[in-house]
Amino acid sequence: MTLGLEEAGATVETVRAAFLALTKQFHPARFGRMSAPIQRLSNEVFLGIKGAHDQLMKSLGSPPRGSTMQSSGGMPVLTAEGTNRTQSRLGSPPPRAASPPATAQTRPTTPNPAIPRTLTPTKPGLAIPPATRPGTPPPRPGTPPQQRPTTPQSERSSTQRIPPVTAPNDPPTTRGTGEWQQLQRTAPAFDERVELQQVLDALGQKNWGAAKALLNGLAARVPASKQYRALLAYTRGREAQTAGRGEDAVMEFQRALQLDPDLQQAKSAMAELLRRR
Amino acid sequence: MGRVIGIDLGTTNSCVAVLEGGEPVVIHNQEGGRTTPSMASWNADGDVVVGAASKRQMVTNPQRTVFGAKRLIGRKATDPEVQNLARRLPYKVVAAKNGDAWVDIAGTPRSPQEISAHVLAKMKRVAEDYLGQPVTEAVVTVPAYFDDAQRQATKDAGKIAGLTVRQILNEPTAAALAYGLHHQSNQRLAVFDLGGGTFDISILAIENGVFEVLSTYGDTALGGDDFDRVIIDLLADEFQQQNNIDLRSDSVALQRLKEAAERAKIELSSAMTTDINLPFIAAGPQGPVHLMRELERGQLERACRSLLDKLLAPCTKALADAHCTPTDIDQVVLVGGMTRMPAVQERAEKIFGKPGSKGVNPDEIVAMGAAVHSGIMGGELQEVVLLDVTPHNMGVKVAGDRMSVVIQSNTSIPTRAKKVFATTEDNQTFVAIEIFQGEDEHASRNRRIGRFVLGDLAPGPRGRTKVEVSFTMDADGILEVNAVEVGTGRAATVTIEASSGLTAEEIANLGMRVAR
Repeated sequence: MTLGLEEAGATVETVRAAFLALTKQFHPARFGRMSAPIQRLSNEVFLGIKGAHDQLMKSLGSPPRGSTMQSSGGMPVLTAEGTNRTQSRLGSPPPRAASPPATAQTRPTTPNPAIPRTLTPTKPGLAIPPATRPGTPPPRPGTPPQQRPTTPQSERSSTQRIPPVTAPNDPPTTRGTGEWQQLQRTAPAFDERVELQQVLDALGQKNWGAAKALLNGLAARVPASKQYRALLAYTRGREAQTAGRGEDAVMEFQRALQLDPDLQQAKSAMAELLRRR
Repeated sequence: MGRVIGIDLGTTNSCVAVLEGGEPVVIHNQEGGRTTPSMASWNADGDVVVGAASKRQMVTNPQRTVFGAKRLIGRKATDPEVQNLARRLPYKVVAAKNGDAWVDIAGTPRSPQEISAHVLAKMKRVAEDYLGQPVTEAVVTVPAYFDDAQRQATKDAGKIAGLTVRQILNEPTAAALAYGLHHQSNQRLAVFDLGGGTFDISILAIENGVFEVLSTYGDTALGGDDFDRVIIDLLADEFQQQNNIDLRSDSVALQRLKEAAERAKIELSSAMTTDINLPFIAAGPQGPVHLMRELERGQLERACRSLLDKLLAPCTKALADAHCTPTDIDQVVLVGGMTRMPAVQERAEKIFGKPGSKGVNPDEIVAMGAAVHSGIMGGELQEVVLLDVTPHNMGVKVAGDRMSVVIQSNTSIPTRAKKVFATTEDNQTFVAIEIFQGEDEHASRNRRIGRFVLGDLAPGPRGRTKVEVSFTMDADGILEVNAVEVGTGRAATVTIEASSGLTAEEIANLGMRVAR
């Protein structure tokens, strides 16, 4: 379910209505008098809701409202240097995942005085490459970068697709809009996917035990992936929540968000929990 | 938790409202007025008077009476608009150490934040007297087209006044909230807000109780003050021709002229002619000279034609940005005292093809909207919420002083957007990320709001090393910028704390002075 909607039969009207209802409930202004961490979290929650709305509306072919979030996705070609070069490079497989940006709270590094030339105003040191591969749509703002073959994204893609798939074990490559295909082309090509789909199915059926077992296996096989660990923490949180252990649930959700600040499910679950209190 | 009050901190007048039983209520000040002049005067002994008492001193104490601080707040003294304004003000505008426009009062430089804080503190006391309990939180409105520094400076003014500003709300949006509270059917609104110092136009859609701003545009240098100035110039030029005396060079005469001009402008909204009567306005070679004449509405409108013409372009732009035509607009809400002027109403009607909505008090609706928003935050109003937009482009400076826009103006907030950039030199080991706000394609002509460095990049040929920059703007318009080297995951994050030019310490010190 996305925006609280059943996947089948969503229309522009139902998506819009669901979005408006959720906006009334979760807009950051509603949390404007609460503590800073809650305000921050509410911001993330709402960004997720808005992102889902924009994706769904786009996949339903609805024109954008206002000039909202449409044009910043296109990458203007700027300098002659670096453009063609980068373009040809982008035809080859992209490098493997970077760690999620928001977890790294590195302080801005002081520039080395021995190499100050790039800091002169005449050489700002930045250019825009056309990061878009030929034939693929440009990445949208709010869409994670294509280099991240992460669990939550795949999960998100499978929950947001319209229309729904019939076979539960359908590999992700065959579904969704072009946007998602772009993600999947760069996703790791081993059987992780099948297992991941099983995890998602288990989560969908609220079978926390099965999801946990599968995720433990996945996390052990891909120790570098914070996303699996995040999803595991989320699953434990849901389990705790089901068992009525609210404090534990909040702790697990927080841990999940520390590991992967973009994990939508954890954000929503957390917000829901906080709202009920 | 205490109550949150809504304050419309206007260029000429301010207004405070609270939500009572789900309805916004405007609070009378101690003098019985529903609005309070946004003015503060310093007496010879250093005491400060605010509001109507200060307005009465305008003629006797012009150099130490400050009005229109809102037109200076968060701006640099070198700003052409500020310089243009400073030439016509009876008080002295000076550059602070950091270049900000401050006001010199009897040798003491004072920040516009401090002056506004006195007005806010007065509004706070008005609310406390009415509610019978301390007030520490407020929603304060600003023109939609205010930039980051102006918003932050307004927040700091609140802090100095002892108020936590829970939200800086755009004035036209606030007006729409107050209007829409009782007109909740799905519709499109144009809010036409011509106040004392600024002109804002916003297009909104109300849909199932969600107020979504589709676009906003404005002119921060067009307002009632400019109309007053046209009248002042009209009268002063004529007087100079007849008597060879420039009244504008004498601050007392200028102040009297300003008062008379404002009064004449207001009277001409209902009457066709008005008398201007300023005895003993100057001393000529043959003794005292008086200024006495009649002013007709037609004369005023002819003199103000170029100002009235300036109203069209922002409206056209806002409509285009909202993908609307005038026929899509169901209601035009007129806000700000200047919209009482018949010529302004005519222009609005001509632009949108329909007359402005009736039954709206243009002086009070913004404060009422701020009170409505406090109800949204406090949970009293569950069925209404607001989706606002960012009025300016936000971007990064790239090679050739170009501005690469990451968040476009009129993007609904909160929002997050990302863009990938590449290095321009071989073996470049760090990039300086400079963040700008503004509409010019040359970064340096926009306002720089922050800068940080991402270092230790993996060496490689130019163009190969790529950095993904992501901008997150929260519902308050506060920007966080995050840069990650693609591939290595090396990251740096900054929250752009727009600086209003005052340090935390200065704010705290001023706070004690104002509270006293």
